[in-house]
Amino acid sequence: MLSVQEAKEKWGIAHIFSSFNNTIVHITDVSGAETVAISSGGRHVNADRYESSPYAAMKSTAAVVEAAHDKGFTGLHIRVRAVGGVGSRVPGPGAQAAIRALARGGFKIGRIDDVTPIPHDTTRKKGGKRGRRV
Amino acid sequence: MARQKTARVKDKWREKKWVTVLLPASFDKKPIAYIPVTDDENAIGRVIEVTLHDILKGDPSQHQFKLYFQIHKIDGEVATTIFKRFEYAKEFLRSLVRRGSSLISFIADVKTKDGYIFRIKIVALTQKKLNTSRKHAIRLVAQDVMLKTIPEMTIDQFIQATVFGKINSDIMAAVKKIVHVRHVGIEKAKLIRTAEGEIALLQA
Repeated sequence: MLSVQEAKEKWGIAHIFSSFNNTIVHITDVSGAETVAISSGGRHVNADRYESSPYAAMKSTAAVVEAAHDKGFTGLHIRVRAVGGVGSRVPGPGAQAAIRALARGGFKIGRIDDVTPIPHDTTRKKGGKRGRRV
Repeated sequence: MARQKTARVKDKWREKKWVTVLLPASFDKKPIAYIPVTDDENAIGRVIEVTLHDILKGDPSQHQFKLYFQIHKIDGEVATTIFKRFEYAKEFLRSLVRRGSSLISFIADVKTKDGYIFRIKIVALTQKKLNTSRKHAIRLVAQDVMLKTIPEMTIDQFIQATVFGKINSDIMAAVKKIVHVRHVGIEKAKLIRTAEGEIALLQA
């Protein structure tokens, strides 16, 4: 059981959406309904191809960490998400960096979940029968 | 323009009041979360996900069960919740599935004594691959046990039985007569209708 003191601690959830084209870090309260801070890779680098890089993920995480500290949050649960569905089920290159930056940001880290949407049945993956021909 | 925007966002955050979220009576109304709320009306219906370990602080195996509670009333600084959903963690279910054994699932809607309707998904995992007739038999037995025991329970008893595995062990005992199984349990139990919802529906 949580003591009253512990329950008054402000926990949040850090939703990390990590694809191969971008990383979005979004901190909410525990119900997921109230946004605390949000940032993405594209806000911190200029070139499109760097949006998904670990560096951009680190930068955007640092930005949300600061905002969450200002609002008094002390602990975070982490939910990592890849594209999922017909897309990739493996988180992109930014996920690792984002988790690391959160841990270094001085928050207590609760559970780390993978919440990639996995279909029970899907429509066909794009690219056609013979695959993507480059 | 941009500066104006940020100023407004900060103001909004200051307006929020922080509400302590309590568990339902079946968990002794322990405080479980602390959330910001602007408007009481808007906050009703929000769902909070916790693991069983967060509530009981027992052994680490409790991390593999997830519970969802929905806010249904806010009274000053305190929000009360109802039990919404029980679920195996994704990783736990994945760890149970193994090659060369069967996974049998069975879904049924059951009504408790006081009129709450739950949709329950039972999952059973065997040692070896089973033929279809045995699978059918297991499903029948599971249905039998659920329909016999659950309508006798009140909502509190049902939640206790689900979370602490009483229903699981009942089914396990019954299934043992057919075939030896590796694991039987409630993979998911979700609230379809509350008692009040049911009454409203019947009147309409």
